[in-house]
Amino acid sequence: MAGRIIVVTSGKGGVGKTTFTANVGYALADKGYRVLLIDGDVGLRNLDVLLGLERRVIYNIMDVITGRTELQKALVKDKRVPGNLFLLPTSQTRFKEDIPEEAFVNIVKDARDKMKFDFILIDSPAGIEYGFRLAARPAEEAIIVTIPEITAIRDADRVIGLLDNFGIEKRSLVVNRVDVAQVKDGNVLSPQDIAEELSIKLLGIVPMDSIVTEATNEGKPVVVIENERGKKSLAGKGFVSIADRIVDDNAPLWDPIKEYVPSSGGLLGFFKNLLGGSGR
Amino acid sequence: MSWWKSIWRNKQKKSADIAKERLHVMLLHQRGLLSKQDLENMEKDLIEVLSKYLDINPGEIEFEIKKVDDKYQAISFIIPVVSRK
Repeated sequence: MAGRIIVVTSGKGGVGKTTFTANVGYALADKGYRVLLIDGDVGLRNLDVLLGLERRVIYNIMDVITGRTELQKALVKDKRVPGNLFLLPTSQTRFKEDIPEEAFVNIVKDARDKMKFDFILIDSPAGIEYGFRLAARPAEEAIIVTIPEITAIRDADRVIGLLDNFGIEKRSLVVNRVDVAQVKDGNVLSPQDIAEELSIKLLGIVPMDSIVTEATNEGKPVVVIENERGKKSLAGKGFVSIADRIVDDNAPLWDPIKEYVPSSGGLLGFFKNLLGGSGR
Repeated sequence: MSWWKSIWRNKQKKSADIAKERLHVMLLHQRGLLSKQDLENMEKDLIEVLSKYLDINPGEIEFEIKKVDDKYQAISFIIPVVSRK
């Protein structure tokens, strides 16, 4: 089977696209797939930082386009999953418009066909302008990342509409940064409701979790931190289950809201609830 | 909207439900299924017709659009009546 080219996009910025790409890419590589992550946010390079690879970047996509180096030499290897996870960094100094669509498409397809990647995830920049179009152009599938806020969801809907123009029919939704207790209390939109409004398949749910901040701070995917500590996390569970569902359409959706039990249960929790506390 | 009415209308409504309703209308506008202009014109027409029979306050009209099922949406207008003409 040919490798799958997936664009990760959102419309609105700051919803966790790049964090998602880094973590789910890592989870896929950890499962044994060959994964290439492409930073599509030209001028605002971040994916290398989230993976802790910023000091190992030598060449970037512009060097490949201008012929300064070969694609293979521009890829940064993630040694934590040897042979499985690679990053193609973007340029920090150029403008998005410096990358011609055709050259970009050729690089992505070459990577898939000649270097035998199973998954290529393209991290799209925020917005719906050239950078987004560039990232979407070579993709055959799209993952839309949003958070449970109406502004972000509205932007996600705009992007979904635009994906029609690219002929990208296979698309699914990830709801990131979900405060599970607040959904339970009816203060935050549920991921299922969001997917229904957007008429899109719900791929997965990532609960709000402080481990994601630590992961960013340390340049380690959440799964790596979990392994170091020997302890699973909610966000980690979200990312890994999404990786499972990318690989297998029929893998079950992990729903942290269904599993949620208020942490202060028992008699104390009863009194807290009685006094109108959220039960956390 | 006066405070007592907002309390009455939102008594049972959770914040997420309000977000869902607002989002639903925003997406209908965005997808071009029901433009803001159409909705405003509809309201104006309704006011004209109803004003023949009732004394109403146009500033207090509210509407709701809800999904009935996958195929149908329902629009309801809430038009406070001041008095009979």
